[in-house]
Amino acid sequence: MDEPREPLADELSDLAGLLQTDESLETMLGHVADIAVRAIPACDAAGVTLFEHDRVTTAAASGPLVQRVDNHQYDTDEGPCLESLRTGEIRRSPSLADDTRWPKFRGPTLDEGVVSCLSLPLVIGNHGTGGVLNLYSQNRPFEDADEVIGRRFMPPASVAVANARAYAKAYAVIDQLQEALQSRDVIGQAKGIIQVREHCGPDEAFERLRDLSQHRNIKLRDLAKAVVESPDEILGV
Amino acid sequence: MPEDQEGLARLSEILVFEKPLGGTAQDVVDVARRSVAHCDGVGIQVVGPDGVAARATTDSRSFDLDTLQDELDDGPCVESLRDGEHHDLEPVTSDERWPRFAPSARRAGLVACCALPLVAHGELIGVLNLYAWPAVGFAGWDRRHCGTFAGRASQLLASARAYARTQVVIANLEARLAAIPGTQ
Repeated sequence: MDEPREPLADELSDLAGLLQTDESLETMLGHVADIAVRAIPACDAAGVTLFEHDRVTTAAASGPLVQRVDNHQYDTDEGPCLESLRTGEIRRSPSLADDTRWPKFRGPTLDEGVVSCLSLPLVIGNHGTGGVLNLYSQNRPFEDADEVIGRRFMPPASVAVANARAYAKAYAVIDQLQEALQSRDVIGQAKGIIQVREHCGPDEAFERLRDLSQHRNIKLRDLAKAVVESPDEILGV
Repeated sequence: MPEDQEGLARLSEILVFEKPLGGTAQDVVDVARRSVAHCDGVGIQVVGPDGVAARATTDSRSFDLDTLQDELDDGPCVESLRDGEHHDLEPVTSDERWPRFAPSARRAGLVACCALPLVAHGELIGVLNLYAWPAVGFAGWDRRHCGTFAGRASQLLASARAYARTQVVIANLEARLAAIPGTQ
């Protein structure tokens, strides 16, 4: 039986530490895929598929083969990765040539030279299945021993993905809030300009902005920006 | 799996977004006490740009020992936080090394203290204090494991601290946004 190449334990427990402020989610998942190729004997290529906003994407891959095989799954809407994602369970095919479960996925994948595959769901308690670690072999079957190592891989990989996604999500919220603030700022400035020029109150100024925005069919924020940049042009001299 | 390896594995399974920073620090000290041999209590301080960002201890005795070092501004933990180096109070260490802390701590039954700096991406982000107060003898620390544990804990806490900061930024932005009268 193949033993995992040490220091697998070290690499696995390093995974969760990979989430760093200066490292993107894709880079971090790239490390996950690379460590999987090194640690799991039958594994020739590895990638991480993420499920977000009702879409599946290959967020990281150890090489170009992964994206091609993943695409066969996405295109045919079947295969071990998608099934693992939907069920939260491991899917292993020791011999794709003899496997009848995914007829549409099988042909093009065999054409890529992939003979065996193993999909490991990345699940965090009540946070659902956030992704799947997909392993492909071009030379030998994934056996029980490979799956045993793969299982050891799942908790830290799942945590690393969950941590990174939480971080990415927090940053997206920050971006949205900053944009909203800037938008409010520019509308506030435009209102101020109108109040001074047209000797009116803030509500009237806002109504004027809104009317202009509707007449010109320009978004309120864009119109406000135009007022701030060239008030004469928009409001008349 | 041996206890020390299991401790590292458990550390790698801590989610940084489920609890506030103090909760994550608490998880780290609890795992440390279980996985470091001959360790009777653990304390931790995580620092940020505005001073101490989180503290946690496994038990009241460790809390008292952490507090004592703070109050006396003396001891291995205080020194680690100052210079980012590893410092030890061992049974054979002269009281002169930490003249204010060592005599009081020994009177309180402390036999050994190992202060490990928490360093992530070159930045000193805190200190992990291992305490031992065995009834008889002291078998010493497994320094390699202690160092590895502190390294992993540093990475984890750096991530947790970074995540905690995003939550502060979000709260501040939301407050600023709420303070602007509605424009729609």
